[in-house]
Amino acid sequence: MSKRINISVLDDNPFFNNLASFRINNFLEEYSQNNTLDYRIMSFLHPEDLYQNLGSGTNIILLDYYLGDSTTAIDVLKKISEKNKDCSIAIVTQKDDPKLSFITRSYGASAFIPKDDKTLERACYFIEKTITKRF
Amino acid sequence: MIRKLSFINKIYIIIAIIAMIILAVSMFTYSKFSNTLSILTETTKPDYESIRIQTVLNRLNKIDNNAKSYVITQSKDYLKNFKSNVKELKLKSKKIITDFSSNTNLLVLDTLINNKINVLNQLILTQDLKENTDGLSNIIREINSNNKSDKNKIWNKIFHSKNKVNKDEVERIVNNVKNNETLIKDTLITHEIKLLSEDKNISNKITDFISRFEIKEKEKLLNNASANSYAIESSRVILISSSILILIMLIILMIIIIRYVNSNKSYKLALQKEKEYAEKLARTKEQFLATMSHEIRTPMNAVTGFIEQIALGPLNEEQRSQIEIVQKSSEDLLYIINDILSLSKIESGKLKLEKTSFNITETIHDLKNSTTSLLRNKPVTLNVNIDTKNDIVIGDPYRIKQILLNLLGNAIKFTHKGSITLSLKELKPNIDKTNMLFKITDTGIGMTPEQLDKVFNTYEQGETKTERAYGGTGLGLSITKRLIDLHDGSLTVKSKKNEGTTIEILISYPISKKAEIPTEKQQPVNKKLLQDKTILIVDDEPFNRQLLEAILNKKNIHTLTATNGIEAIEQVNNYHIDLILMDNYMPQMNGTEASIKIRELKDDTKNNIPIIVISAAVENNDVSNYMSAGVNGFIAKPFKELDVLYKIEQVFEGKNSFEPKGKHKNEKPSNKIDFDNLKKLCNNDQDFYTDMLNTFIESTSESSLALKKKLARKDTESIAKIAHKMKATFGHLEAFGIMNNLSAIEKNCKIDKPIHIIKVLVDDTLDQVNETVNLAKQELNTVQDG
Repeated sequence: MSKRINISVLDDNPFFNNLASFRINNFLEEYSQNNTLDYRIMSFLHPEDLYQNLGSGTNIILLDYYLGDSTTAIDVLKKISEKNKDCSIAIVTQKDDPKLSFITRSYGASAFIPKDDKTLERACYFIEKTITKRF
Repeated sequence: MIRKLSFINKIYIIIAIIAMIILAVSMFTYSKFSNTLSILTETTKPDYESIRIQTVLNRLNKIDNNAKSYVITQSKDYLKNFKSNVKELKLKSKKIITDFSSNTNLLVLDTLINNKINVLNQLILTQDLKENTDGLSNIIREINSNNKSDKNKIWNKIFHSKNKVNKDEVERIVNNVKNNETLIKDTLITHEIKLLSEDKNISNKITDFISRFEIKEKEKLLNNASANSYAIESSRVILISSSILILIMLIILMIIIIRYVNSNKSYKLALQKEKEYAEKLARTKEQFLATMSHEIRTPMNAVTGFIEQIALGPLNEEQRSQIEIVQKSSEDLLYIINDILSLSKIESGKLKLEKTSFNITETIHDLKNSTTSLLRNKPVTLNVNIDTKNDIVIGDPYRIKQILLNLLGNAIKFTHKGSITLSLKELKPNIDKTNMLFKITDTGIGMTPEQLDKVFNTYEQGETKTERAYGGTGLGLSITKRLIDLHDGSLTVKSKKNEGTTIEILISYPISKKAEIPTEKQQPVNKKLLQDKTILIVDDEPFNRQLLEAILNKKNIHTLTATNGIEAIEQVNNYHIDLILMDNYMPQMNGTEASIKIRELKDDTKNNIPIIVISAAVENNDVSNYMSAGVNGFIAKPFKELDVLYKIEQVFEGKNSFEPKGKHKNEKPSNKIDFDNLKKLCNNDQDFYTDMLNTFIESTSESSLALKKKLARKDTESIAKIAHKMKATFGHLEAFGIMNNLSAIEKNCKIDKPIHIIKVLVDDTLDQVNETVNLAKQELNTVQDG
C-alpha cells in the first residue's frame, strides 16, 4: 500500500510560496521514485484557506511566521492544534530572534527554518525526516 | 558435467511425466472400456437365433398337439391346424437355415423337424386307416361285393324273407370281416406304436439338440461375462495403479514446490537479512566515520589551536621551523580525514556538488600559492598557464580545488627534478556553457601501464613500496576520479616510467553572468567590540577550553568555563554572560539540549544570550539541529583564532551567522537579481521560470506601492512588516544589497528611528527595487521571445 502524505505551505509572499511548493514537489517527485509515496502539496497565501483544508489529513505544514494583517504563526499554530494535532509543522521565517523557535515549539511547531539560501534544502530535509519518522 | 536441474525444469519434467501418464492411462482405459462395452452390447443384444429356434420348437409342439389331438378326437379342425402349422413351420425352418447359415447344427434340427412331421403325418394316416376299418361298413362293403357276385345274395338272404338268409354265411362274413378288421387294426396299432416310438425318438433328439444348444449358449454367455470381468478388472488395476502413480507424482511436485517456496522464502529472508546487515553496516560505517572524524577533529583542534598560539608568540628560528613542521603535519592529517569523509560521502551517494559562481582562474592561482611551499628544497619549478575568456563559471569551487590539489600534490610528491605545469584552457565555449581543460604535466617518476591500470582504485598506489617511500593513503586519486565522475567530466592519463606523467581533465561548466566574484578577506577584528565582554566556554575537553581561554583572554575577554550543559545553565543563572561558546557532544547534557534549556529560561536577560556552537559535527543535518535549537552561530572544529573572533564579532553586531553568504560584512552586496540562481531554483523549467518572473514582478510592484502608501501615512509598523516580507524574495534572487536595505528599514522602524531617516532608506531601496523589476521584465521578454 502506498504512503499518502499531504503537505501545505502557508506564506503570504507569493514568490516564496510558489518557489517552495515547486521545490518540494521536485524533491518529492525524486523521493517517491525510490519510496512508494503518494503526495499532495497545497499552497495558501491566507491562513483562512489553510484552516478550511486542515481536515483533509494534512501531515506537514511549512508555516511562515509573519503572515500580514498582524497575524503570526502563533495564531495559526493555535488554530491548527484545535483542528489537527497530528501534524508536523516547520516555521519558516526571516526572523532572527532565536527565542522564536522556542515560543513556536511550545505551540506545536517541530522545526524552525530560517529564510536564507538553504531554506528550501532544509525544508526538504525536514519533510524527508518527517516522512521517515511517520512511515 | 552433471548440472543440477533448476526448479522450473524439474516442474516441467514432472508435469510432462504426469501428462504422459494421464494420456497413456486415458488411451488404455478408453480401449479397455470400448472393448468391454462392445462385449456388453453383444451380450445384452437379444439372441435372435435362439428366439427363432424356440418359435420353431413351439410351432412343432403345436403340430405335435394338433396331430395327437386329431388322432384322439378325429376332429377335422386339428387336422386343418396341423396342416397349416406344418406349412408355416417348414417356411420358418427354411428361413432360419438361410439366416443362420453359419450354424450347421440347424440343418440337423431341420432334418429332425421334417422327420417328426413325417412321423406325425404317418400317424394321422394310420389313424385314418384305422377309421376306415369300421366293422359295419366292412360288412356292408363285403355284402355289396357278394351281391355283385351273387346278385345281392347276402342282402337277400338277410332282409328278404322270401330269400331266406344263410345264417352261417353271414356269420362267416362277419367273422371274416372281424378277423380282417382285427388284423388290420393290429397292424395299424403296431404301426402306430412304431410311429409313436419313432416320434418319441425324434422328440428326444430335438430335446437333446435344444439342450446342447442351450448349453452352448450358456457357455458363450459365461465366456463373455468372464471376458468382461477380466477387462473391467484389468482396467480397474490400471486405473488404480495410474492414480497412485499420478498421486505420487503430484506429491513429488508438491514437495518440490513447497521446498522451492521455502527455500525462496529463506533466500528472501537471507537476502533481507543481508540487506539489513549491509544497511546497518553502511550506517555503522557512516556513524563510525562521523564519530572518528569528530574524535580526531576534537584533539586536532587543541593541537592546531595551541600550535597557532605558540606560532604567534616569540620563537627562535629553529623553534619556528619545528612549529611549521607540526602545523604542516596537522594540516596533512586533517586533509586525510577530509579525504576519508569525502570518500564515505561519495560512496553513500550523499556528496552533492555545489552550484555557485566562482572565478576559476583565481582557483588556479590559489592552488599555485598553496602548493608552492611543498616544492621547497626541491629542484622543481611549478608553472601555471591559463588561456580562458570566461573566468567566472558556475560550479563547486571546493571540489575542483580538491581534484586539482590531489593531482598537483601527487605530481609534487613524485617529481624530484624538472618541472610541473598546471594549465587551464577553455575549449569551444558557447553562450551558456564552456569546457575547461585542466592539464597537469610533470617530469616525475612516471608509471608503467600496469600501474596506470590500478592507480585510480581505492587504497591502491602505483606499487606497494610507493606507500612506504612516499606516504599517503591511496585514497586521493580514487576520490579524484569519483569527483570528476560527479562533475560528468573526463579524465585521461598518459605516463611513461621515469619520464613523467600528463593528466588531463575536461569539465563542462555553465558560464556565470556575474561580472566578478567578491573575495572574502578577513579584516582585523574590532577589538573594542570584544573588550570587557564575558564569554562562557562550555566544553568537556579541557584542552579546548584552555585554547579558547587563551584566544579570548588575549583580546581582554573575560571567560567562564563549564564542562557540560548542566554546568552551563548554572553559570548562566549565576553570572552575567554576554555570549556562550558551546560544544555540542558533552556528557550529561549536550550543547543542543543546553541551548534549548537556556532559551526556555524565564529571565529575558538570560534567555537571550547569544550562543555559538563549536562542534566537529559539521554535517548539514547537524547544523540544522543547532539552528532549530535557537543558537546564533556555528564554528566548525578545528578552528583558527580568527574564525572564533570573527564569529563572536558577527554575533555581537547582531548578525545571525547562518545568514547567506552574500551577507558577509566584507563582501560588497549586489543589488542585481541573479537570474541564473532563479533558473536553478526553478530546475530550469522554462514555464515555471516565466511564472516566477511574473510573480516577482507582480508581488514586488504591489509591495512597493504598499510601502509608498504606508510611508506617506508614516505607518512604521506596517513598513517594517512589508520590508520583512520583501526580504525573502530578494534573498532568493541573491540581490543581497536590496535585502540588507530592507533589513535596515525593518530594524529602523522597530527602533522608532525618525521618519525622515526611514524615508531616505525606503526611497533609496524602492529605486533599487524598481530597477530590479525592470530587469525582471526585460528577462521575461527575452524568455518569452525566445
